[in-house]
Amino acid sequence: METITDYELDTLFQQSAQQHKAVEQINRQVMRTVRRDMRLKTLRKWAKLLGLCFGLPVAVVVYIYALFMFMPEMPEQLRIVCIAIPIATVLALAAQRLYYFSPEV
Amino acid sequence: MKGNVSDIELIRQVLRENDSRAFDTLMQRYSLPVYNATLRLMHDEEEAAEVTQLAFIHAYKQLDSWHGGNFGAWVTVIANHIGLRLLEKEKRRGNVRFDDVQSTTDLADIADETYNEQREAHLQALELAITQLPEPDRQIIRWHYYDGVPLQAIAERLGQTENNIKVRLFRIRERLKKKIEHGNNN
Repeated sequence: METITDYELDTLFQQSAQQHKAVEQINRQVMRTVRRDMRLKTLRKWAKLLGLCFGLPVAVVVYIYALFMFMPEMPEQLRIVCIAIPIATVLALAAQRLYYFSPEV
Repeated sequence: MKGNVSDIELIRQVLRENDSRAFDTLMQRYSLPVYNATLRLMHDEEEAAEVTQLAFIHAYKQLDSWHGGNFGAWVTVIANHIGLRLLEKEKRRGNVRFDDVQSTTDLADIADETYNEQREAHLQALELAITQLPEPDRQIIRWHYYDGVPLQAIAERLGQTENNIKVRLFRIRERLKKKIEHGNNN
């Protein structure tokens, strides 16, 4: 059976303390990255919300205004396409949201 | 305080509430075992620290793909993958450390001069032995050896004489030595 001397135990304590410091350093670095990522996530969430509240209505208004301005000069088929494309886009986005919807996070 | 909260609850808090403290608790719980496992693979403290760091960041980013089980084991698996990739890269680069490696399966068995298997075993035995101590004894060890608090200050904190603390510390050390010698079996 091997025996541990006082000197060896002191060395072990020293090495263990160094290891703890190294691990604390790892924890700090990782948490810095995690917090930065979380801040970015929050920013993206707010940016999305702002985009939805203001950007989307502005885009819709601009599109409708452009349609009213140019529609009288457009041929019949192009008019249908111009109306069908946004409707199809909205439906596709809604379908995609429903498809990927999960009650979990 | 999230000390008693289960891993799954902590992960839910990270995912649902974006709670960084919950992930911090997970890190406190598992970073040392993951670091030790990575050190066994990498045989180099700096590389092990880097790989452990990358593994936890990767785990955080892929947290929604965790399907239960032991979180520490999951992060260790991630760390092993990252570590092995790093070792393969080093081997391809012709790093001196891995000149004698014939195949990737040999990588985990490479003995490095900077790594001492017995020292690591003793360190782990010491960690385990400390966790098995009663809380007041553990506190004295933590203060004295990990926070560098002098015996005089510990005596003042506990309202005891310095000699009393010296005797207690001597007894604790003897107990720890025995546990390390016997591999924590008693």
